This record gives sequence, structure tokens and C-alpha cells, in this order.
Amino acid sequence: MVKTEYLKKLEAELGLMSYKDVKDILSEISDHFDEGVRMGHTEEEIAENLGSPVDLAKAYKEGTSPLLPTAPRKRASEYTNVKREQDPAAGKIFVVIFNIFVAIPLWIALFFIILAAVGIFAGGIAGLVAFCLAIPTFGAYMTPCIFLAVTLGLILIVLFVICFFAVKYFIKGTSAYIKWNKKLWREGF
Amino acid sequence: MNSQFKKGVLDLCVLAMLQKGDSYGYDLADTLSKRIQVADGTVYPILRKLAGEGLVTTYLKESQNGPPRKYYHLTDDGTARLEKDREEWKEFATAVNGIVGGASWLRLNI
Repeated sequence: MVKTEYLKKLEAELGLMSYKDVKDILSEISDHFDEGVRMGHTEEEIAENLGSPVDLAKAYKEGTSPLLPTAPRKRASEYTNVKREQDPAAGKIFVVIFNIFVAIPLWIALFFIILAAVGIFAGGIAGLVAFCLAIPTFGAYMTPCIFLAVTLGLILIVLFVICFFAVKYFIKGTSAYIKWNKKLWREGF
Repeated sequence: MNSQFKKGVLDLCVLAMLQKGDSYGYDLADTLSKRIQVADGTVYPILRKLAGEGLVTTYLKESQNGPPRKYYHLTDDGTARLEKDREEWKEFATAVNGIVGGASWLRLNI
């Protein structure tokens, strides 16, 4: 399909629209063809890439129709947004006080608890390795020692899983908390 | 790609492209259709709708090769809408990813 054909079809499909609107739309699409030709494309190519004139006309008509009513839930959230923006200062004060007296001490405590757990895990690994190396020297006690080493190993695996999730959720929690703070800081209560 | 997905976010994409600087229809159509699988024509009805809502304005500017081009410019209202929609989109996308996500138990969402 070439340019003139495309524009004719588009015009027919636009149907009931003011003369000015139709003229504007056709001139815009006509410019698109001219620009495409200057870029070295054929009119057929450009027409194909534009999509069918029927679809294009439909999109134009949808765009000019009155906006769809907003869903009730959206309205509710907009309402709370407006309410929230009323007092950004309270949000800032809350963020500062809450962080100094509650969040930061709590965070530090949690951080050291997790650090301790990781430390215990690392110590356990080192102990287990040393113990395993020493097993051959135990002579007659070798069999119970191997059982002890296996048990210790299993305990360390459990500890590793606990540490892994603790670290993961600690990082996740911290980032979520920072986001929440930023939001409060920006928008207040 | 599911066309219902695209419908809602294309306005946002067009606004975001215009935030990077004024541009003309062909360029916007080309940029958008290169990155998202849509027909080149998609952008025009959107631009017209945005202009109708006062989110963009148009002006003519001389071009080096050929007739003057119709440029689109993001208005202050358009910028405000963009910022608002961008935040909403981010929240929405994060929530959808959280639900649809797939095997993400190892991924730290930071």
C-alpha cells in the first residue's frame, strides 16, 4: 500500500470527526511518510510498519473519547495521598526520633547478633577441620570420633542455613526500611 | 507481547521519552518501535491525546533536509503527570514481579 492509498483509508476510517481533526491527523501521518522516504524507506515499507489504517483510526478515536471513570480503589488511594501530603514536617520529625531511639540501636543489635552467628559458624568450620585432621591420631577412639565429626558437620549445615536466611532477610529488611523512611521523609504522614 | 500489557504504559513511555528532550513524531515512533514491539503508528494517537490533555505542546522547527518538523514538548503538567505515573508504575511493577517472580528465593530484592 502506498502513501495516498493509506491516507485515503485512514480518512475513511476516522469517520465522524471534525474536519480540523481529520486534517491534523492526515498531515501528521503524511509527514511520517515523507520523513520515512527521506530516511531511505519505501512507501510500502512505511505503510506496513505503521500498522493497519483501521487500527490507527481506532486508536485515534479511542484517544478522543472521554476518559474512563477511575476505579473506586484508585480514588481512595488518591484521597489518602492528598491527606498524607498535608504534614510532611511531622514525617521528618518522626523519622529522626524513631531512628535515633529505636531503629538504629535495634539495627546495630541485630547486626551484631547476626555477626556473632556468622562468627560461630566460621569458628565451627575451623574447629571441625582441625578435629577431622586430628582423627587419625585417636587410634582406638577413631569410630566414635568420626560420628562426632559427622554430627558436628550436620549442626554446622543447620547453622549455615540459619545464617544464610538471617543475612538475606536482614539486607532485605534494611532496604525496605530505608525505602519506608524515604517515603515518610518525602510525604509525611 | 500481549497488547493489553502495553496499552496502559505507552503514554508513560512517550512522556518519558519527551523528558529527555523535544522530539518529532517520526523520531518518537522510531525510538519506541525499536524498543517495544509496537506498530510505528502507535505513537501518533498517543501524542494527540497527550496534546489534548495539555501534557505536551507542539511547535514547528526548521529541519536541515526537508520541510519544517512538528516538534513535541513536555509541559509542566506533563512533567508532573510523568513523575506521578512513574512512581505508580514502579510500585505496580515491583508488586507484579513479587507475585509473578518465578524462582526468586535466592534473589535479594534491593
